Amino acid sequence: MIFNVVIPNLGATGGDVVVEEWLVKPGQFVQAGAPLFVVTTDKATVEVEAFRSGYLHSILIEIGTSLPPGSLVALLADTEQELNAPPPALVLPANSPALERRSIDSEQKQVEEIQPARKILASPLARRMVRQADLDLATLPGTGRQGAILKRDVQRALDLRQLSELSASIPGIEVQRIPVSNARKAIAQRTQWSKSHTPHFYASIDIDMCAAREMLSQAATLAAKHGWNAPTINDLVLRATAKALRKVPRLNASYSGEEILVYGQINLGLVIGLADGMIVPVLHNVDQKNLFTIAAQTKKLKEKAQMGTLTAKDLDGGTFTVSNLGMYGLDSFLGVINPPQAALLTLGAVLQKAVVREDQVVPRWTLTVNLSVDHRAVDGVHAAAFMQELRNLLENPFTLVFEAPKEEVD
Amino acid sequence: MNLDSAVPIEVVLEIYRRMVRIRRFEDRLYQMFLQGLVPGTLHQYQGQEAIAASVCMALRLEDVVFSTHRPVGHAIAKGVPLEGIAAELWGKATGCAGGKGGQMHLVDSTVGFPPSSAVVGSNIPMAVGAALGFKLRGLDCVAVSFFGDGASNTGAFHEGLNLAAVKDAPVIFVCENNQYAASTHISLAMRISDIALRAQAYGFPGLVVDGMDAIAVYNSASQAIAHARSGAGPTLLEYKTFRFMGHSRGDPGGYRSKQEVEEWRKRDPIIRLHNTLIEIYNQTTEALESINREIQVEVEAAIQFAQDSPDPDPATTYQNVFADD
Repeated sequence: MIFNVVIPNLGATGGDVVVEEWLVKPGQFVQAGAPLFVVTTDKATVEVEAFRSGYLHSILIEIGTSLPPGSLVALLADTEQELNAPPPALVLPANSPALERRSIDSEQKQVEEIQPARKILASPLARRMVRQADLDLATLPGTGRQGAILKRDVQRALDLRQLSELSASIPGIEVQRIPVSNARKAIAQRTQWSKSHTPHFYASIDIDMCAAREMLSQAATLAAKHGWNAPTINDLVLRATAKALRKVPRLNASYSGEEILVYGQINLGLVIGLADGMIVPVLHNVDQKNLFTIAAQTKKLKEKAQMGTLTAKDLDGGTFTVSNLGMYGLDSFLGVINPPQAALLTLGAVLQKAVVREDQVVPRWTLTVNLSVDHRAVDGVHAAAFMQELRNLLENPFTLVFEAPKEEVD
Repeated sequence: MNLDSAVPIEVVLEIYRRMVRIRRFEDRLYQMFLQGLVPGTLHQYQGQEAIAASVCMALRLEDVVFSTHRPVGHAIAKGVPLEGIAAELWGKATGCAGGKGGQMHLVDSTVGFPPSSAVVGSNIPMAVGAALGFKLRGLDCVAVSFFGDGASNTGAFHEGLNLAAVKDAPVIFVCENNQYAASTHISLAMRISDIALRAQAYGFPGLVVDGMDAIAVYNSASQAIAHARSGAGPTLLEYKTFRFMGHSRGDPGGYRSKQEVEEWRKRDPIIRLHNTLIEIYNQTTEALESINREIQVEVEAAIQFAQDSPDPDPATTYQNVFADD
């Protein structure tokens, strides 16, 4: 016969455990009572023993997976012959989450449709507070174990509500009422979420853009000759940002609560202001694109944004965002991080400023850039390393066009 | 005290039965726990069976036993029906506590098993109170408090022993010294090597006995019980023993060396009594095997009964939870 190997109820609180290691390989024999695999619970690292002797038929989950008790993780066969046999129709413990997980892998859509609504975890006190305050449990983000909603989460929602009630209007003054569009609501929700959940910190640096301006003017001449799009300061900064992120990948990341997810692609979101609101189309794999390609693609994205023809593909997958208000002449400004990204770069205008060089005050074209950073994922040293690299690249702009020789391919 | 007194064969066989019943039930529970089939927690008793079985065998039905967070062995030994214990572990209406207690709170007042108390050391003064009650009512019953080495470092231990001493309470303090209070070795928790020494401080006898030797446990317990029944007061019995499993479910026991566990497993009290039965009591291997088989059937039936039993009716939630007027 083939038997199910499941996660026993090991933790002190019945919470999820992480499967760390298999001590027996598929096909190998294991004696009843001998350690079969290793898990980490909320309390300790634990060897789970085989409940009967047999041959490990197959392992059904990946190492590092976090699973609730009762999850099916492997199959154990009585005889060696059964190793080659496909597993019989699985008899699973009631409500086995392993069933859902396994099925999602193979028949994702179908299972998603039949999955029951997720049960909302909340402490009894939080539930009572929610009832009394007439809030909706489903709208509250939980900060407890497994996202459970706790007293502090409800309190925060109450504080926010009180704050908005306080500042909702100033009595006695005539008002013009502007309806809130869906786009505006989305902006309100995302920025409010970001500011209340992401601990922001900021880094600022001045960059000398004299060489960059000189290079862009030559690039414009070249572009005119070939009928290409002339790159802008913004395009050059995008190119430099992508290269700097390659050097300091920690800023191209998300904080997931359990892990820091560092992304393998560099996809830059580009904030574009609209008549009402703004939109953030995404330029994908920017580190692999040359300056003229970036110029052509940003121009296209801007046009599509104005026309309202951006596709889902144009809006998905951003890993880092750049926002530029330089065209309005601002010295600099600070932005709100675009979750779940870990950082956002904001650009002011390239202005002539009095700068001290070799003991002389001289006029230099200067760009002030600010970086807003999620301190959960990124520390000051990472932010500083990134800003330093960005300045080096932009102050020596030839490094942005000169590429190392590629290996010859036959 | 004579630990090698001849014990009648009927008594030894019944001690063996109770020890095997505990071991088979606990082993089966662990196997099912690994399969995710046992709800709630487990604190297992394998390795310590000689103590529960022999001490309870030396008691009368009306004597009472106060147990701990690890009560399954004590409850089986005192005669709580296996079905009621199994059903309680599964939280069923037919459980010995109506499904409200779970593994740590077993009870059966008809066999002298008041609710076990999971708070370490807490049952020591309770047993003293019960014993004083027997004395004041003129009964010749005794109370037993089972506890571990960890409990002997709580305040309740010292208060309980002192009060029992000055009142000559008919109580037997049974310390199952399994060397570890959860993960803390006894050497990290006390300076003395024998907990029984502490009886001297309160002016009554204390005795160290091999807890893996069922005959020695039975003889020492019988004499301490007779002493208490005669009105001479309490005894502290320290049984040196070892739990083969972790402290509770999910405890890998990594704080003990494999060698230490192996050494103690070689002294398995069931194997030892099995050999005694064959060598001294002239029992056959077949006869003992047949007992083992009977008990295996009993264990399977009890677990089947638990699984087939109904869940408690929500309407009975507050029944037997608060004291009646």
